[in-house]
Amino acid sequence: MDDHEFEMLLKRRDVPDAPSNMSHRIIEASKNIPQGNMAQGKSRFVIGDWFSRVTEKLMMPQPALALGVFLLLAIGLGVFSGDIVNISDNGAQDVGDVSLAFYVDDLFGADDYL
Amino acid sequence: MVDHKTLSDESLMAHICGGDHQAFACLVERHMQMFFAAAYRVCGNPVEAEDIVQDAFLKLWTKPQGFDASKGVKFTTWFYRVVTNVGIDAARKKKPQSNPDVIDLMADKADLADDVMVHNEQQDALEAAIQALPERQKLALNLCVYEGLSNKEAAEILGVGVKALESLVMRAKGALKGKFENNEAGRVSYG
Repeated sequence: MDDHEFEMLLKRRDVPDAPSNMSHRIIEASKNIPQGNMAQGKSRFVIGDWFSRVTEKLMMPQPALALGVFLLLAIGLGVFSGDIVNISDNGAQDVGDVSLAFYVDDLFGADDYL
Repeated sequence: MVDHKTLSDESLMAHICGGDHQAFACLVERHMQMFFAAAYRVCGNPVEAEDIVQDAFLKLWTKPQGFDASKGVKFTTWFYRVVTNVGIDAARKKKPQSNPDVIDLMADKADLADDVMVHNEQQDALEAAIQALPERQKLALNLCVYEGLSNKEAAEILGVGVKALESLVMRAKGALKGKFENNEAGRVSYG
């Protein structure tokens, strides 16, 4: 296919005619919307719009955002790890807790499950 | 009494800013077909094109101040941008759907003898191939090849430089040509 043939092919693209009553419909529709009121009408759905914008953003793959959130979470976990993993100074108490856990576990043998 | 039909687009916009509904009606009637065609070329669907044009004109009616004639921008250039943006928004909200394969469209019905059917088939294939282009390439092609805008105007609408626009058009044409050449090769090998 040479360039001339290709240009002719491009020019063959058709567009259907607009419906004959379309102008009339647009003009009629505009009569029901006073100027400046479209934006006011939408303001009732600000929260909905905001939510859909946020979800649209989140739907898009954003590696930088994902990495940022991951790092923030990692830093947060690091800073507050003391609250999550409570290591006491009392070694004997810890050993007792562990032994108790094994003891409770030992009470249930394999037969209990069969 | 003002005869709106004698006024320029920019003057009509000034009247619309003053709440003149007759001026709006005149502008809609004057440009509806042209912008319907532009919307159709963006979405490839006449029903969606109707919605896009209606939304764009209603935006114009409710917020005519968006057009600033003092910047020296033509009304049509500005409104092409509005229609294009409404079309892009509509396409993004729509669920993505796979475009029919150009080769399938042309090859599956290749044996139909009726000239009208062959013409329609080529139209469908061309439309599908254009709609399958990346968004910016498609818009650049539409504005430069089909809307007949100058490169400067088209670049302004797309918000890119003239060189970048030329590159987009060139890549769009290259991709289309490649598709149709592959298609021809496929038909020869299968025939």
